Formats: sequence, C-alpha cells, structure tokens
Amino acid sequence: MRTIIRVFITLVLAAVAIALGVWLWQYYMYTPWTRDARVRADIVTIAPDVSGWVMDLNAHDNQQVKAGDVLFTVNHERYEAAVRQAEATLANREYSYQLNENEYERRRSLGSNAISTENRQTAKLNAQIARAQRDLAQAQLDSARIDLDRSVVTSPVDGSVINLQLRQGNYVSQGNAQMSIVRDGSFYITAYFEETKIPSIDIGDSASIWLMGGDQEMQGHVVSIGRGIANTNTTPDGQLLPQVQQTFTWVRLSQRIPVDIAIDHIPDGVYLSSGMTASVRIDDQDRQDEGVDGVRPQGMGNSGEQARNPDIPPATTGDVEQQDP
Amino acid sequence: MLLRELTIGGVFISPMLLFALVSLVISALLRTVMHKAGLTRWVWQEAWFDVSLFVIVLAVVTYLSSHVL
Repeated sequence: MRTIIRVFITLVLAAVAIALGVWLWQYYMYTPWTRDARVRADIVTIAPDVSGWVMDLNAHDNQQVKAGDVLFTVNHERYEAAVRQAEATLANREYSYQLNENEYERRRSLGSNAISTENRQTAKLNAQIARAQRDLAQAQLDSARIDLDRSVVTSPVDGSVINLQLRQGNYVSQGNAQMSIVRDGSFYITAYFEETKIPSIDIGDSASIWLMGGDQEMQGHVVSIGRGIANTNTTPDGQLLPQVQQTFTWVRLSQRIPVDIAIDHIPDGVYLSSGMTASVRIDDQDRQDEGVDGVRPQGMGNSGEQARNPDIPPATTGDVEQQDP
Repeated sequence: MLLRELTIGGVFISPMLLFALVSLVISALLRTVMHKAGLTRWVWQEAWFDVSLFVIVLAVVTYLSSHVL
C-alpha cells in the first residue's frame, strides 16, 4: 500500500511538472516580447536644388534647427548673372513685342487698297509671335529667380542636423544629399518580432519599451505591422532565374517582422537617438482588437509630442488588401 | 518585471537564466526541508521527483514574476 502511494505521489508530481513545463515553454516562446528593437525617427535628407560651391555654412553638427533656418548658401553669382540675363532678354522681347504690335496696329487701320490682306495677317502673326516670346522670356526669368532663391538652402523641418560632413568651400551638386535632419518629436520604435509571435500582436495593443541604456519604462502602442520582408529566394542570377536556397536544416529559424510602435510619452531625462537598441513587450495581447485607434498615416507618435509635418505633399498610401491576386 | 532582459554590468542576459537560478535555490531548499522532515520516504523515484520539483518551481517563479512583481 505504501509503495502504491509513493509511486502515485511521484507520478502525479511528474504529470504536473510536464503540464507546467509545456505552459512555461508556450509562455516563454510565444509571449510577444523582443530584445531586437530599434529607435527610429523621420530623417529628412537635405540636397541643394542648385550646384555650386558652398559660400557660407551656417549649420554645425548636431545643431538644433527650426524650419526655415538657413543651413548653407551656395555661391550665387552665376545665378544672379542668370537673372540679369533673363531680365535683359525679357526687356528685349518686350520691346520687340511693342514694335510688332505698333506695326500691326498701324497696318490694321490701313484700307484694303493700301495693304494686302496677306501683309496685314503677317503683321498680326508677327505681333503674336513677339508676345509669345516675351512670355517665354518672362518664364525664363521666373525660373532664374527660383534658382537664385534656392542657392540659399533652408531647413524644411524642425530638427537636429546629423553627421554633417559638408564644409565651407565644398562643391555641391544639384540633387545630391549633403546632410540629414532628424525631425523633432518623430521618434518611434521598430521592434522585430519573430513570426511566431505576430499572431498575438494586434494594432492598438499597448507596449512597454526599455532602452538598453536606462531602466526607465516607456509606454507605447502598436501602430502597424510590416507587410513584407525580403525573400532571398527571389533574387535573380545573371540569367534572371531565381536563386532558390536549399534548406537542409532540421532547425529552421523564425524570421523577424518589423512592428512599428508609437511612443505615447517620453519621460523626462530619457534621451532618444535614432538607432538606439530597445526591448519591447506587447502587454495586452489577449485583448482582441478593441479600442484600435487607427493607423496614423503621417508621423507615428502621439500627436501632442509631434512637431508639425514638413510642407511636402503627403504620400498616398496604396491599399494592399484590396488588390486582386 | 515579466519578460525583459536583465542587465548585469553591461551584459544582457535572458530573464530565464535568473528564473532558473532562483528556482534552483528554492527547490534545493524545499528538498532539504523535505529531507529533514522525513517526507522523502514518500518519494518513489528521487531523480524524477527532483526534476519535477524544479520544473514546477520554475513555472511558479515565472508566473509570479509576471503577475505579482
């Protein structure tokens, strides 16, 4: 009898241990938390719209700038000359137009026995051509003025200058980025969750964030879950055939899907830099989609802490789900 | 606390390591207490018993860390 009880006790304990072990495994493997998260921000790259060498460099590294602050000035002598040239051309075309117009006015009032119809029509067309050329010269002048204006490069947003390599005297080319600006208040977290944990993450779920440096907890919420990551099997070779990788392994590693998390509130004393490492845990994964406060198309943080958006037309977001296969 | 990595002098370790260490100590203590109290004679296979005890304590510690702390 005693032996039976001993065996029974041990077996019950072992059964409980197995059940709890399974729970532990599930809990540890499927609770949506990750150590693989990064702080990100909206980065605006600044490229001059005109070429030339840098006359004045007003920005310095890590400088805080406001929208409209002058960052640097491209040498504008050539653009001033271009404006003068365009002005002169405009004046020339204007007088040319007046000349042709006067000629036409005079010929229009002549009787049909003093001037042929053909000559009168030619005079009219000449006046119209001269007017069109004057308008062209006006447009060229406007364009030259825009170039001159844009030789002064200003910041489009409030933010901080990052990694400034530009020096006074450098030659900059039109359209080549010279510096970048991290937009104020645009910080958010991108957490890379294993694909096994994605099913328990919903948009709107609240999240706890810890930066690697510092023990302070920050609160946030999920704003979006990435719809795609690169697939190396689709990379074409020289003949445009897909390079499909063989998978020999028993163990397959789960891939990671980026999940964007807006920071609800940044506590005082927490210094955020784009690129910092963070740990993220999704808190209410059981709450099924209630209280989803929607995806914010522009910027990702709490609206109260966001700086205003730059004056660029918003990108239109395509609705992927609606597409036919 | 729940699941988050732990910092020990700039080294980041999995929380499970801490849970396991704590559980090891707790189960060793429990084992000693049981031995002193003479309860071990109700145990059939001691090795099974020890492993099961450790897993149960580990699960309890993990649960408490997330739901109490």
